[in-house]
Amino acid sequence: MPELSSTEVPTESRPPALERRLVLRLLAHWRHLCGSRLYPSVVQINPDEFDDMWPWCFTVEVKDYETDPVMRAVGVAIGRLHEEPLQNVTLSALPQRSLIRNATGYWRETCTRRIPVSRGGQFTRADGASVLFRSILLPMSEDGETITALLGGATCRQIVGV
Amino acid sequence: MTTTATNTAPVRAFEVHTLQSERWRIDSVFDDRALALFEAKRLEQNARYQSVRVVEEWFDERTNQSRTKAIYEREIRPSAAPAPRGRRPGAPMPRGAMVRTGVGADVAAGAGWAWTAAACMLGIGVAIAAWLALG
Repeated sequence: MPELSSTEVPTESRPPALERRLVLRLLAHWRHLCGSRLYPSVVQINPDEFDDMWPWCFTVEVKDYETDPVMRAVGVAIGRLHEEPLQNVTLSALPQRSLIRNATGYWRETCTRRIPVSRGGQFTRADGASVLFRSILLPMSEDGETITALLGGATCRQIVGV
Repeated sequence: MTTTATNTAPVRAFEVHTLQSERWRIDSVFDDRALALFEAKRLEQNARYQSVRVVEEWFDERTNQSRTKAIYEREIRPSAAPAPRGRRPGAPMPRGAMVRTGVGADVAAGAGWAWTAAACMLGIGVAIAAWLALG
């Protein structure tokens, strides 16, 4: 898996417009990787090609972990929002009431429907803060048929005064 | 943002559909109407698609039933082949119209034209008969 590289400082105060743009821009990049195929391969992911988004991205390995996929690459911005390292953690073991938990909570639907799925909403963080988030999961395949991995992206912002 | 994060399917979803080689395909799904519309309009720039539409879907957990409604549809380039559902692919769908699925759609569209033609022929026949009777 490619090494993470970014100097972007994670923040939870991004305006909604930028938050939404990340989802759509990541979807556009996924389409670019697809080319004429239905799904891109995980080996095509090059963080340098989308370094403005990569800090907010992650990959999930599905192949051989069909019942409980495993987090692989994790962008620095996503990683800094969580106390424990997320790499190589199964999705069922991800911390409750966290961005990454909500951003991966619909992985089954993405694998079943075999299309990009975007979800957003609100959750209460472990420290009691209310957080708005927007996320997307994008299917990837090595052979063009079997979904072997997911490329994900997520951003969030804390709701002040709630 | 209209939904609360859960691990269950949302009650409301917006599917982006694309028409390519005379076949509709679900391209992506959002829980946000604005995102789905934005993505559909972006796909309009892609010459590989004949049409793009956004279908809103509701699911009632109490009755276990779902409803769908096309909220946006745009033809990108005309189709050379007949429409798969009894109407021209990408032809403007009335806002709020229900998405027609199943085999009845083609039959219903064809029957409508047949009845119109029959009514016209009957009207012409009656007019000729009246003219002859008066003459």
